[in-house]
Amino acid sequence: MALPTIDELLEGDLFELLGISDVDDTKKASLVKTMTETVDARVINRVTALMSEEDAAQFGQLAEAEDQEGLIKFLVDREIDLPQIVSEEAARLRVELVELTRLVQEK
Amino acid sequence: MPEQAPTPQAAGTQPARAEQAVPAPAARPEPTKPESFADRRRNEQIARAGEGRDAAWAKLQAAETMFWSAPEPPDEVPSFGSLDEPEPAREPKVSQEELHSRVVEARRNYATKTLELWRKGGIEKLSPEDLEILAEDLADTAEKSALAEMVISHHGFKNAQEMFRKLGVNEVEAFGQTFTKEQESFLKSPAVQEQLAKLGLSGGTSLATAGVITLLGGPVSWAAVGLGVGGAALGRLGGEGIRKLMLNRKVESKFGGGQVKFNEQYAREIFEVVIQMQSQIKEIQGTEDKFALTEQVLELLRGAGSPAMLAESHQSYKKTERGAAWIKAGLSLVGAVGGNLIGNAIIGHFAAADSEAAREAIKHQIQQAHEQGVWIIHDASGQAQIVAPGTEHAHFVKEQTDGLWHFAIQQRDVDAAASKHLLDQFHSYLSPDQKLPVPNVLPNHDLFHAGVVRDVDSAFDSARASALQHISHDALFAQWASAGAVGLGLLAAEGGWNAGHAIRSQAHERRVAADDRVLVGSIDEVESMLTERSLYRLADQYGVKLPQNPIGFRYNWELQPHTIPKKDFSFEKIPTWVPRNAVADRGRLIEYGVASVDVARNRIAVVTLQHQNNSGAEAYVCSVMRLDEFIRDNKPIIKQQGGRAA
Repeated sequence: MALPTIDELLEGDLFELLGISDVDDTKKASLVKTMTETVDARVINRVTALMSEEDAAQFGQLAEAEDQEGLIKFLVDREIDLPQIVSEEAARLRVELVELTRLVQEK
Repeated sequence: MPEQAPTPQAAGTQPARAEQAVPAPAARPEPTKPESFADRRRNEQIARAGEGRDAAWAKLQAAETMFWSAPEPPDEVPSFGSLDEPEPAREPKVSQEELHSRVVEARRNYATKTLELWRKGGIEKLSPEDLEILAEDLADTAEKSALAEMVISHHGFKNAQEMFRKLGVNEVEAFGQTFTKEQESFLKSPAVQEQLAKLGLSGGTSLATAGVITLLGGPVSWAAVGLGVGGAALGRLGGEGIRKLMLNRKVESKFGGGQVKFNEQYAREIFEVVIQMQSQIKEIQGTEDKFALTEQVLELLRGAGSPAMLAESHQSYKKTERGAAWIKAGLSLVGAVGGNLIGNAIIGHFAAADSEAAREAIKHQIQQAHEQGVWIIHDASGQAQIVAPGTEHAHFVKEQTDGLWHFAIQQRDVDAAASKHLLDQFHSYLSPDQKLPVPNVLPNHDLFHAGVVRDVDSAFDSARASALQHISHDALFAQWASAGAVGLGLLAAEGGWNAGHAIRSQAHERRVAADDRVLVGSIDEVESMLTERSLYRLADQYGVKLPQNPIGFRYNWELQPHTIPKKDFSFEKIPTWVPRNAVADRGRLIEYGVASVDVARNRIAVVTLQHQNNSGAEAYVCSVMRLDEFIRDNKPIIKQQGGRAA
């Protein structure tokens, strides 16, 4: 199963939904970067919550070493569905962002 | 009550009553001592408290305004009545000052009640103002605020109510219930219902297991099976108790030092985030620039899911739940096995009691008891019974007509079960100082041990020790085998129940996610929704309806590319589209027949009729296109009916 990147999940019609499709690409890229970091942090939180302390430490070491294959094997061995978690968190952020922005605008 | 002065915020919402000589009652209390760090922090919290607090104050002020605007009693000559008409009853006139003091008192009562309610929850280390603000915010916004739901959902709770329940923290609203209502509510609570459901299932499984053991010839006492089930239930309840203890453990407070309960601190941390976010949202309201607004909302969300303050507590909570689950399962098993064993021992069904060793041991015990001054009593049937008049418990040993010695010990609530008369009578029998003749009839079997059982634990220990001492190894093995089988049956039932519960919970969570806008579903669903929405918008923009699936034909998306034999497809019956720039009277017109539409994935399968020159055969060649591009480039040649594609 191919890992969807957070960028891929967050792009699309989101800017249109936010009503900012006409802003320049630099600003859009800046927003996407923040979104990516947010989703990244949430995913790490969720993944480590599923592990024991020892596993979390090992997971951290693999992540620091940027051992992509090792990370995937590590997660698969522990039956942690990273693509699913990434998808959920990305979708959640999109929905939260759009809804909260509208909520603020409507108030 | 400290002297009151209006804060800017309170003053902003205060009804104009300048003409009234009394001070403004809606003013918030101002600290009279020099501002300390705690005061400053508290004032900051007051300043950033969300609309929940404002709403609560608004309610108070509205009630107060009604008080103030109530018409004064008319200033008329008082009537003293007459001989025919007695003096009319008059309401005592209430002065403005008195009204004001009543309002102040009402508000103070309100605040005190709120604080008291929170103190019942055990948050005792907070300042009164902190508690007030927190309580108002929770009561007014927790259940209603989408923001609160969002933050709470990040911690794995469906909503505030579920969070309170799982953490074992009392809800603000629940504090107002009477004790009876609380009890009713407890009995009807999902947690209790869950335990009852488990108990019912455990009982059924235990009985079935016991039935199998009986069929196989094993020694099973039904009463012991019942105790085994009870033991399992007690084990589970004990596990739940341990879970509660773990959740209620004392931790260092992050809000002003001291020790607080973990669950309450965790709940408060979550709501602190909600309150902070409410405050931040207020700050960014009115931002005209949409991009700037998006940036600020995003920053806000960045802190919502993974605030550093919460990460530690969240992890700790998850760890607690995992640990408690194991303890629960373990105690259930131990409870089932132990309950069964003790049950067998106490009820007195000793399978091997007729063994010579057991017989001799019991005789020895009787002899010892006799030497200590026990009474030997004969009941009406003439069977020998021995009472050990200890201060803690009584043993009862009886030789049945089958020649076997049976051992039993019972505990009863003497005060509830026996009349005082019989109790006194029995005491006289047991008293070593009373040189009463040995009665030949036991006064009442229910009173056999009456009034002397004080230490139930030691009584149980004694019973078990005696039982274990006298049961032969074979019997002991059989007992354990029986108890173990029942225990394993319970464990299997528990496991099955838990699995079923997990599945139900998962399904429930999915529904909740859809219902509560917390959308924990897959990205596909969100993408589909967004794609579908944008396609309908595009179709509207081009003044067409979305192409529809032809009725009676099922397209196979897996076969790509492929052709459809002419006989299998009726071009005349399907929606047909042509290029937008096509001119009918120039050359050949390309017509696309719609074979299938997949709106969620933004794709369309179309067919064009192609003629093979050599063979003369005709077939429909299929091709798949992006639906949005197809709509942009083509138009229907017949007027379409509206509706969504299948």
